[in-house]
Amino acid sequence: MNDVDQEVRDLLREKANDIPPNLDLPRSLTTRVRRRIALNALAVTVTVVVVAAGAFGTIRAFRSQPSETEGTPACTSADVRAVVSLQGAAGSREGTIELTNTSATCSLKGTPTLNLLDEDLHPIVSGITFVSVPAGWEVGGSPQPAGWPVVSLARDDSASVRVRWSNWCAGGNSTPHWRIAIPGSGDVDVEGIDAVAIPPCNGSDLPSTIEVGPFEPHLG
Amino acid sequence: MVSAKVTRVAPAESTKLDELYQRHAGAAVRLAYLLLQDRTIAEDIVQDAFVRVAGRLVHLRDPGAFDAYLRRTVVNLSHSYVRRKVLERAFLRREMATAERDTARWPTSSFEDRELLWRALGRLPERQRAAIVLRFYEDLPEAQVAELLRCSPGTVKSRVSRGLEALRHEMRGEPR
Repeated sequence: MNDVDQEVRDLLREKANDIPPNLDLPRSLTTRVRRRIALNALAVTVTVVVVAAGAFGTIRAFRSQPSETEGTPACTSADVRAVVSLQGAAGSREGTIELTNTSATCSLKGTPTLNLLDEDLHPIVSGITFVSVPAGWEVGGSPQPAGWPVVSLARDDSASVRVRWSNWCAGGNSTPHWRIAIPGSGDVDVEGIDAVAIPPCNGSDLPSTIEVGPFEPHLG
Repeated sequence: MVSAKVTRVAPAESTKLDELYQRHAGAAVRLAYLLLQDRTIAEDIVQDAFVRVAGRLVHLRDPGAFDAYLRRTVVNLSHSYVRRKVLERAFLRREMATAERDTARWPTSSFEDRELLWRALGRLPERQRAAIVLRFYEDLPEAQVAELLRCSPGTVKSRVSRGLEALRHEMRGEPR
């Protein structure tokens, strides 16, 4: 067993001795090492600059948040009225929730959350999947509205939220109540949901899906 | 063997580079030569490794471990080199055919014996050869070889064992 071990050891040492123990530094290698050091330093500098720029941009974005809405307070649930309008579309119901400002000028920003409630007004907490989707202007290839993602609403102005609802199998044919949560404030009952024909049940083992977009200026 | 320690150096100084190269390059070329069995390629690999490690010397957490970094880089570059060789399989097949012819005439001298063993070592799968060289030439413990080859100590053990078994068969002229 050890015969080959020893032979291999001897062979490796013998072959290694073909190489002289000390080798002189090739002249070109100095240049290559220096170039490498310079490239490494450049890479480090670029990384630091990119990270710093990213951090600065993020901080600036956070700081600028109030200034974009400066002078325009955020809308509260007491300021807005929400009405949904959905039409049938390929096995689902698609449309918008219109939020109309009934008070002084205020602004909305971000993507709202929806809550569905049963006929006893208990939240339906299972069997529904909410999915965030892009704003209508992005999907339609329109230019970004001025001030977006902040939507400033004068009195009687409206903001829109894209909604697509599919696969409703729960609760027979009854339509659940909808409530929309205004960021930083409370919920607002969504009117008009009773008039919406519920989407067909495509599979009771699958969740109902509701796609929700961000606030955006009224989609005419 | 790569064993000497160095103190922190300013790599931009060519005299320091010269000193560093003289101290470590010979051992590194020997290792690469045993892994690749080609002196010219071994020297190229070591120069590339030296550029990489020396270029990063200022960022090394432990500049005293230059030799360990260099050894790791040599092993990695040798591995990459072997993988890049697209004709390796065809080459190995030709060599195997030659070996089969060679076994017909059993060596009569110790020199021929050594050359056969050397060639048989060269025909081993690259990872088996690397495990054997690092264990038997560098005298590294299995755990350290495992770290260098990015595998478990058990894998190192089996690679060495299988490699030696293959060499034993070749030296006896038996088919594997």
